[in-house]
Amino acid sequence: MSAVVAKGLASVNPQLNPLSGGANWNSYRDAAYQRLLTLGLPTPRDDGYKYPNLRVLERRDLRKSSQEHDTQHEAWIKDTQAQGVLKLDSALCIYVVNGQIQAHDSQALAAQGLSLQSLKATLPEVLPSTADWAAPTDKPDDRLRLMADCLVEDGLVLRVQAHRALDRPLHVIYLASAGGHYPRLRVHLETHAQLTLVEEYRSAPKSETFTLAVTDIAVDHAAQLTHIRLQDLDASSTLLEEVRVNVAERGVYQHHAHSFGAGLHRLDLGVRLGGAHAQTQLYGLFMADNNRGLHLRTQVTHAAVDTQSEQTYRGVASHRGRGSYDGKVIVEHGALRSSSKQSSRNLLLTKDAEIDTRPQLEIYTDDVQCSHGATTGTLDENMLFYLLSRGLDQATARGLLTYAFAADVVRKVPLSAIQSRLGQRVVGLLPDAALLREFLG
Amino acid sequence: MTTHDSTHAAPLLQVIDLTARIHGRQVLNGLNLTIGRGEVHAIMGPNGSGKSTLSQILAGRADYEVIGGQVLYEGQDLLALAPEERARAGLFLGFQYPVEIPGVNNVYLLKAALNAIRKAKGLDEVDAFDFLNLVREKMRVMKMDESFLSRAVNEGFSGGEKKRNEILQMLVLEPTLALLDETDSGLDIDALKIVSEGVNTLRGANRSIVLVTHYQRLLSYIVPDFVHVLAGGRIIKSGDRSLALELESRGYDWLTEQVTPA
Repeated sequence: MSAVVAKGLASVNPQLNPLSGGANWNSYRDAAYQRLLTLGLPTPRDDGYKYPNLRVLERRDLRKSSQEHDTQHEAWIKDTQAQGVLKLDSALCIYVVNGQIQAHDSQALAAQGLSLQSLKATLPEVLPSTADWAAPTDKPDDRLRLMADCLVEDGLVLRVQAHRALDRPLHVIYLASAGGHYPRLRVHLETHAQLTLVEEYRSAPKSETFTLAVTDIAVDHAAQLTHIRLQDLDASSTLLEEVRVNVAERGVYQHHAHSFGAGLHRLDLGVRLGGAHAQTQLYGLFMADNNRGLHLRTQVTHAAVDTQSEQTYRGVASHRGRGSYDGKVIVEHGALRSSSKQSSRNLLLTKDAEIDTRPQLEIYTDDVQCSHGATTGTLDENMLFYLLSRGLDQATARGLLTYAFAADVVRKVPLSAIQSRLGQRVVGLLPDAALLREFLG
Repeated sequence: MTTHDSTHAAPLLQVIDLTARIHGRQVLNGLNLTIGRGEVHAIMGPNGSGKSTLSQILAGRADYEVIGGQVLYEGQDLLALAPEERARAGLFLGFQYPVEIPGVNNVYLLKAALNAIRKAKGLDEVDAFDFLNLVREKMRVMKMDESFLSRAVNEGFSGGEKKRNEILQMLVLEPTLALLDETDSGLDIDALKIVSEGVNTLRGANRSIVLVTHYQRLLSYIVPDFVHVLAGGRIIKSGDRSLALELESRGYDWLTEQVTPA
């Protein structure tokens, strides 16, 4: 192990980052650190870490304490909150600022059957059964999770009571202005509960934030979670995240990931369909312009009979942008009559852009229906010629087709306010944005 | 847009000795054709004769390589213009196979197209209210359902609907030269009548129409001033409407046999 690698690892040492969680939690974190020292940081040769190359972790000190807070960046946070630009009219909103959960209307949440606690507050309860944190799909050597365990400071614990359906979405906005953040989110929907959860990541300009986020979700019997994730961090920021979901019998988990910002973003999503008739729909869009690296990885495990999964991913890259979709579907032995659909379509707008796709199927049972397809290409020449032949200029025609390509997944988002915001965001990336805005109506 | 003085004196379109190839195969072979203002021409010919090639080259499709000859449109070098510039100069291609473009709304495309053309003419953007009235009026001509307004370009349209949409676009954009590439193919008799009526509303002293077709049938509804037979990549015979009728009864063989090189 080189000295450089040691620096990245050393900064993760929980001794440097004490959490007042009691002896059990601290010993768990020490154990995680020892394991991580043995394994080393992930490399592209490790299963599941092919994209992107995480060498970036070797060189930087990942602790918050190593970063200076900047008054400009803090002003950005105040303005962002005060102006409420991110707020959705219809949603219950919670800000998490530099890892700290801000004051919120917990009575309004409780009235909806939702309890929200901080991880710190629940630590004695959550521990000592640390196994409870790790979803059954997790491999013991899941290195990013081990890192997150070493670094975690606080988190949100959400629980929706059985048979309660929130009539408003819950919107969690993570604002970061400096340093490293290791948010932990735990969501539990009890039987027949329903929730729409929107998570949004933003950071101050040139703040160089580093975020390592872990989310664990349990969707109980016949519960339904719609999970919308919006990543629009500053280009100087890095976000690595792991989301693990367990869906019980007849439960439904729907996921929408929209990734636009950050210099590097990796979202690793694992969904385990653990009960009969459980289902999941996963949608994702990344737009990797200007040297950005945006990487979406999914692993869906069909572990019970009559389970269904559907994945629709779209990627766009331009100007040395890089992206990837690495999607694995596993149908376990005995998961009869499972069905799985996987589609990944990708668009390269400039020659220096790159997108890698790796759809994989592992089927260990008979009587299943699985399909997958992945394409990467440039804009359709026939469509382009059609628009040009009607008098549209090149920039508008290309922008329009790119918008239409991305809109394929944008319009799957069930909240119209987010749909139109995403639409505007896509258009903003394209040449001739002013003209194209008209197409949004 | 220079040489305005000469534009009315010259024919609208002059194709002179046009030779072109695609993927190394020669598809046009010294083609000559002159279209005057206000005229309706029909170009007929057997499969693979180069009919669609001609329309595609005139509209600016990049796949074809022009290796000889020239095309003058209003006295200017048409081939030097990009496809969008040709459209703005008043040329319209009605596609044989209109492209489906999911996610792009019909009305917005029409509006963007109309505004692009108006801008090139130095006109203001069309008023949103006037525009919708215009589209609705033309939709009535084409007997198109109101739902068209909210649909994506040609997405899920039947063959007949796609062709009607082409003519609708043409009616809204009011081109100076309309090239209609097998607009009649795949149409039942009712749709053929609607499409023909649509085209006929556009006939006028300042507009020229070129109908590329296999069948005489269309020409009963849109009566052409001239009929040309295209075979082997060039026009081998021209005449009036009676030529189309003769082709219908005799086929193409009697003509193509004469031109096949020994």
